[in-house]
Amino acid sequence: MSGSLALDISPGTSALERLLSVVRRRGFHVDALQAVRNHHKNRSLTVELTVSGERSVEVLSRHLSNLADCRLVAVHADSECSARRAS
Amino acid sequence: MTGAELLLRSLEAEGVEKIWGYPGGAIMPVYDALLDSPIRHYLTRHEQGAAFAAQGYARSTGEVGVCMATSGPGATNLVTGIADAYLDSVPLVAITGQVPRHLIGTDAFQEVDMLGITLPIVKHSYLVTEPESIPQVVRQAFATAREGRPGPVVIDLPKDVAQAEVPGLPEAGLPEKCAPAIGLFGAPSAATPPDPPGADGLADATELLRASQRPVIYAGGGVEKGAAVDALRRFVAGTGIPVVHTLHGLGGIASDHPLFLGMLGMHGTRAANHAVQECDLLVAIGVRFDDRATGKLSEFAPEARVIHLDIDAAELGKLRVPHAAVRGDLRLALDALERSLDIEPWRQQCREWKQRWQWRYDAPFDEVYAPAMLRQLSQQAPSGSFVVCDVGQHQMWVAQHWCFEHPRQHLTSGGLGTMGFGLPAAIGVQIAHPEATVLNVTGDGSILMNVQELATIRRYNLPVKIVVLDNSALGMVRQWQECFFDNRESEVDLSDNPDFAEVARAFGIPALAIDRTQQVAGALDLLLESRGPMLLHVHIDRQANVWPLVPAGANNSQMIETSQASQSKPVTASL
Ligand SMILES: Cc1ncc(C[n+]2csc(CCOP(=O)(O)OP(=O)(O)O)c2C)c(N)n1
Ligand SMILES: [Mg+2]
Repeated sequence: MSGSLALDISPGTSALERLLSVVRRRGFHVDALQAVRNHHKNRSLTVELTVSGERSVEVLSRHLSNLADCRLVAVHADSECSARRAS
Repeated sequence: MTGAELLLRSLEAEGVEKIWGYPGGAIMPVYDALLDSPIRHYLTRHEQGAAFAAQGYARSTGEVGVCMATSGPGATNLVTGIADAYLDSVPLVAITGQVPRHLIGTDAFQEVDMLGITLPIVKHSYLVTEPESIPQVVRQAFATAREGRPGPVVIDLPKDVAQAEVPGLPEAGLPEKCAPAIGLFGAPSAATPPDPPGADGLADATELLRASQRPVIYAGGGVEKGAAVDALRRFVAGTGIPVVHTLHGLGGIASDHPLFLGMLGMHGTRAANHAVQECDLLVAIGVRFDDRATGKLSEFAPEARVIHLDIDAAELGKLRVPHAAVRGDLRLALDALERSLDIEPWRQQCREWKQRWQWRYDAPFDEVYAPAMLRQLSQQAPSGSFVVCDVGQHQMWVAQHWCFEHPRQHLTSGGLGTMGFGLPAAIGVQIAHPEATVLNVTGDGSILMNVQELATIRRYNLPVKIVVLDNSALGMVRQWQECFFDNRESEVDLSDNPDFAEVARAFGIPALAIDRTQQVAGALDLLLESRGPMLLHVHIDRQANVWPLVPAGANNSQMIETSQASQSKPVTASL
């Protein structure tokens, strides 16, 4: 339901826009966001994001990993209960 | 050389031979350079037509389709085609002109933020700000469009970048290893094979298969996209598991295969929906648990354990958490799965359902019965023919009644469900396969969405065969109004349609109109024998419906076959 993600994204601003657009469209709110330019690593942005929503943060992290200019560094999901599993 | 010339050299280096597009101010440098390029440009009569023609090429070949438009309205006219490619995972590169760099952000003439507009409907997009980066952008755009789960990529090219003087491509083109990454991480190269499937998932899947008594294969568009049709067929032959297909999966195993139960979901067959609802194991292959297929998700295959195989990790657990998740190359995954199952009683049960609920085509009336006509057409069309649909009842009749050989031969806008897809997509298919029979099955509503492309068919003398199923209505919407809105018809009447045969003739395309069952055989012969393009205008019953139907939000066992309003009439399109 809520969780935090750490990502490295491309220097261009469109990467941040793309990232936030996926977070919104996949049903999450941004509770906290920090983006810091990394002067050593190709001027990438290191982004730390706390999100909340009804769906699985784990699945969100996989959507974000699909972005060409985004690398997932870490994901921490506080609790998961969204997608259904029939037994 | 100019940026525009460099763009074309880069496209040539990707093997591009054909482009569909429409010129205008900001893209003029590229159109000028086209005159000296071996790339063949096809002028459509609307940019949406260009996007769908490029899609037709891409869907029918598996190669990347390329479309091109100018900035502003040209670019926005591509947007529907891009969204359609995104939802159906079609490899497409859309090149759009943009205003010169110094004017970006000034609300200049024909400036729109194409990158922003398309952000949620592309795999990736580029605004090219440095002319020198063009070769790398193109290389990565193509790799991204093709690799893994395919999809659309936008390259937005400012006019001054296209006009800038740049050094040319290196003599030897752009070898993979020399292509520096754009952005931070770049994209895998086109040569990168899909990842092998994970061993853990395969082991879990094998256990589930061994334990299952009532398994069903639920296979979708990912099978063809992953070049896994043969692997699926081997798996089915080896295990004898009954198969249901999604709209995009149709043809994965041939329609006449004894283990094929039909399409599942909203307009699926009774046998397919029944088997899925009763199964104890669902082997989901290249599918995304789309609501049109699953009905009410929480009641979909309620007794089933799930094995989900997909190339896209984000699909695994998105809507239904699998008991075994296998991400990676579907071919390797399918070939590695357990084969020896002991499920004869279940197979027998499925065969019985299939037999009990098979389609009937013995319509008692004189009017043309569309399902029967489409079945006949698919049986009569030469092997290797393509059928390209539009959206509506006619699309579902094709899905239900066509005899499919291979998923690549069935083109349909499944995810976005875009009326107007069919005619331009058929153009792309015909250009990609000049010798093949290409049939566009469309509706009286849909054809008018991109009717201008008749001019493209004429210009390039493409022998596309167009079948307009004319029910004088936006039939699918009318059916829903009949079933779920108390038969209150709102803005679905098209009884003032133009004479489509006359319309075709006005574009120089021969045409024929029929309205009686006895005329069908002769008309289909003429259509299939005609060497050039032809339009067959078929008048059908306005009240004909697509059955069965699972109401939106209901579970897939709740199939209806009649509406209150149609109860007095014979329901012939039933199972
Ligand atoms: C571009 C677009 N607009 C609206 C719709 C909604 N829609 C779905 S089916 C349909 C009716 C299609 O009519 P027609 O092409 O005549 O096909 P029929 O259902 O009558 O066979 C409509 C309006 C759509 N899918 N696409
Ligand atoms: Mg109609």
